[in-house]
Amino acid sequence: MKAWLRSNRVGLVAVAILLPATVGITFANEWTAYFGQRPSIPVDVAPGDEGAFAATRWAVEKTERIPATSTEGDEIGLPAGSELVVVSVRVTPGELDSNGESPRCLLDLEELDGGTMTRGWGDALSEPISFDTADGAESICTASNTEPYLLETIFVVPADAGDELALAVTVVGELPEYLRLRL
Amino acid sequence: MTRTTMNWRHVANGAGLVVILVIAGLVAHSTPSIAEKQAPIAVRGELGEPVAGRNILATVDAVRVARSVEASNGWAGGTAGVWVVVDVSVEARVDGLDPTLGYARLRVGETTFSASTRPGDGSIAERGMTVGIAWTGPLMFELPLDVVSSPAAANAELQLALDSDPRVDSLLVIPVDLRALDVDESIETDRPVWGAR
Repeated sequence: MKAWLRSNRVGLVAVAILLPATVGITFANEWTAYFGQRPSIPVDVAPGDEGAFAATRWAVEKTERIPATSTEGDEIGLPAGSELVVVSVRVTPGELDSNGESPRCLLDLEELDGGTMTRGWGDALSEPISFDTADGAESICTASNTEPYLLETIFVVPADAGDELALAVTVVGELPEYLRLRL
Repeated sequence: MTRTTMNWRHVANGAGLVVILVIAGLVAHSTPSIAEKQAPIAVRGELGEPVAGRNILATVDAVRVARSVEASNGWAGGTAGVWVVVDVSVEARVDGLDPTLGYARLRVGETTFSASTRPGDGSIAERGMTVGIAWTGPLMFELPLDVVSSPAAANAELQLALDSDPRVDSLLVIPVDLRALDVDESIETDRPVWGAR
């Protein structure tokens, strides 16, 4: 047996190295492709700070939580046991693309626990509530806006949503990175 | 090396080859197919109890059967068969990026019936879901009368999942004994409600 091991040692060492390497490279390729196509690397911006992302500057101006139990929440028609989170962001487009447009984006709200996302919500623009966006504010990233503008977005969350919240700004061309504005 | 030793080595090599072939056959036979690898992950529950999957939480409150249904939005569904009306409360749990109640089916034997979208907003079929905030309302399934009275109806299953394709995600499965239910002449359903009950 010892003689067999000795005479085949080169091949055995090659198998011991190449087999795990092949498995590792295959897994790495699959996971890299998976995470590369979705917002998986947050670029964090502390509350009150301005973030630079997608050749644009983003700064949260105001965050408001309106409970369903309040008079305003009742007027808006919030569902029982919920709150409306209103986030106002000052967007300052910088370098425009070849069509002269600022970046389009997707906006989501993340609930975090020690920096790790626990739950997420898409915007509530199509939900059955009556909320009027502030005068002059946009409710979505508007590519034709090449001058600084105010973006006001809304989310309906359960009343037990935590205080560690962040607005996630996803620009397709920047994936897998996305901007995470802490609120 | 003697001739006897050579013969034993050949026998050992042959036996080793057979063992490897048997192991390869077992591995090939037991390897899951693509359909099995991508199959929904069934989470079984009971009527009246909350059932939780990865990104869906549901409670089935009641199941009724009737020859006709009138939804809260005024839609009236007559049928040559019967309507199975399921009163249910559903919410998303983790990921709220545009999930819908896109998979609501009633399986009786080998036949599966999708929740009707004909009642429109009188039903919660294909309704957008929110994380942590439930939609409570009816789902309506149109079935032939003989299916509801068939032996398989005693072991019917309500299947719920977010989005229209439940593969590699949770599929809630709640058993329902349709044969034990009386067939009402008509049912009026409640208006779907968004929010805590």
